[in-house]
Amino acid sequence: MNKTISINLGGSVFNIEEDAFFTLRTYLENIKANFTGDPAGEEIMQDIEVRIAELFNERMNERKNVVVRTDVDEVVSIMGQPEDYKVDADDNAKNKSYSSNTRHKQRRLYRDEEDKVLSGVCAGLSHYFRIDPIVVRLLVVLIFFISGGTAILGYILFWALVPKAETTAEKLQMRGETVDINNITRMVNDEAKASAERINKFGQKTAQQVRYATSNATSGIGRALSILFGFIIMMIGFGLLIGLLSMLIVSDFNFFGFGENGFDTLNNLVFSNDGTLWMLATGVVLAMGAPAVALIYLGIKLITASAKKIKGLGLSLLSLFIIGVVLCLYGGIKTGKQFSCDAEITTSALIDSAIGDTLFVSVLPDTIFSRSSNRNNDFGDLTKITESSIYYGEPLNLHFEPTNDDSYKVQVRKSSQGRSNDEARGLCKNISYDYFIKNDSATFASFFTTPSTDKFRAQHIEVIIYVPVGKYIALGSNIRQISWAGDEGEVLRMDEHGAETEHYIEHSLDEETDSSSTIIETKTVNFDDGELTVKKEVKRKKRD
Amino acid sequence: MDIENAKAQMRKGVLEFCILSVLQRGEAYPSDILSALKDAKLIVVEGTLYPLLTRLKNDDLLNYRWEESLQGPPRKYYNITAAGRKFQGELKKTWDELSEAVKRTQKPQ
Repeated sequence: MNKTISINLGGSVFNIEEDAFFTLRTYLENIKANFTGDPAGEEIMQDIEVRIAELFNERMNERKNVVVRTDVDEVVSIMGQPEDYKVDADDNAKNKSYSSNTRHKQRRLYRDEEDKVLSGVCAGLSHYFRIDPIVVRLLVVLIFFISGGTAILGYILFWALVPKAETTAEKLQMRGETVDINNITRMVNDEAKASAERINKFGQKTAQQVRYATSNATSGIGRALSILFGFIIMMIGFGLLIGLLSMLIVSDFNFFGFGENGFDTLNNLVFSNDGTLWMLATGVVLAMGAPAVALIYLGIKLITASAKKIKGLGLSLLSLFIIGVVLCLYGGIKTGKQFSCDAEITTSALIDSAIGDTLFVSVLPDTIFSRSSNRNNDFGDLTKITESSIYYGEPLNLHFEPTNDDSYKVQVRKSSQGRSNDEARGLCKNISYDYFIKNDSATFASFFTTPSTDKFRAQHIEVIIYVPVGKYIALGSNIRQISWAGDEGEVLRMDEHGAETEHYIEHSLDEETDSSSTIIETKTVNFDDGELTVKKEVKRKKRD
Repeated sequence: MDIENAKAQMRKGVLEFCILSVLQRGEAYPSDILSALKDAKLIVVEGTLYPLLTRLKNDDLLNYRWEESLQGPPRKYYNITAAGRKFQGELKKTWDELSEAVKRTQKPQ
């Protein structure tokens, strides 16, 4: 008694005995290997199958309706050995440049799912470049971190575009072995042996040994390295995850230093509470969280080398990551549109040239933000929302530039972005910023305001003080809060060189040895009831 | 030098020419072409034929049509195209020249 299998061969149905079936299947696979990479291969195989079906039909009659081994053997002797199907190697013009040896030994890139950690991409690359898979994995992990994680997109591309080696012929091509009958038979036998062993000896350890015995990765150093890197990868994964969690839970979305209600503040200030911030936050969590989990899993797998494969984990994490990236992109683009147009309004004030050769520049005491005298870049710390106005301590910048005119000039540039030019210009107009010029002092506020109904659209104040070449600026109180030019108490001299003023100002006259005089000045600025009083005391010490 | 291989190479070289010549005489089903070639001892096994037919067809030297068969699936009947005839003519010329040349080299001087 023999088991039969029902097959469809070239459109005809046959009952075929099991051993005959395996012989036939191997025979067809071996023929097919001749046509790997040939676009006409499918069609040729179809014709061959039809012909074999015909030959089988000739052997069937009322009393015999099962294909047996001898039928297959007869058909094979009529059709010929798989090598006979090979068309003359030289009839293909493009192959002429290769010697027949190299042509067959050319490797193709496949994913090796038999030796995979995540998807078999690295294993496939290692076959392609003939490097140990561990080296490839280390390189990939290295590239991942050097690129700040963006290389994961490349990995995903490889995963998606590189096919996995499924048939025996593809596995041989992946390893760069000649696809001929001997090799295929050998591979199939190896595989059969390996799986038989797996079944016999059960237990993961044995399966592991077989896996390693077949994959050349047995070396002790390789094992040690993979444990080391597994550990590092796992730690990085945990780090990412902990960072993400602490961002979420401990600091309650403390974005940009907005403090306890940072999420709400930001949501209100920039996003009109329309859910975009939620989308972005979810996106960030997914885009960071999924790789973190993947890294931990990868690390554990590398360390234990026998961790269970969690089915579909890679794919689910990948989908979550992609969803996260899409959310980030969508939210980002949506938000970006609100910032797509620019507007700027400039006002200038000339200072009477009679004031002399020094302008005293100072900043009003900060009554809104409790900041130190140094600049603080945390957006949230320098933004305050009240019922009527929003106060911004940033972005606000004061700097000095040279001019060939005789008089100092103060220029205040208000700029804003918005969905449209009109919106940007409107927001610009709504910015109010205080500064006072009296005689030889210019005093600036350390913040600007907008109405509380205006959303944050990168409103910005830039103060440029044009200083005649050769004249001086004395930096007064709180200057550090809005300018990088120098410290309180410093006197700067404007050089005739270029635009990047700060670099060309010669610091503090009293440091100059060849200078004939040293300026020691004190100056107080009071701001009472909207009235500005400036007291100044200048002492000039003449040397000699 | 592998003598079997050299023989196979020589046979395969003229195979295309012979297939075209067989079809020159009229439309044929692969088995017909096969029997003609087998009679001429050009091929021993059938497998060699199928890739060649497909290749010649893809080069537009051959054409085929489907014909219903009493038993089994429909069959492909091959016929030669105009380009195929021209190609065969060229090959024939070359073959004649070649066989003449070969004959001469074999003659004792």
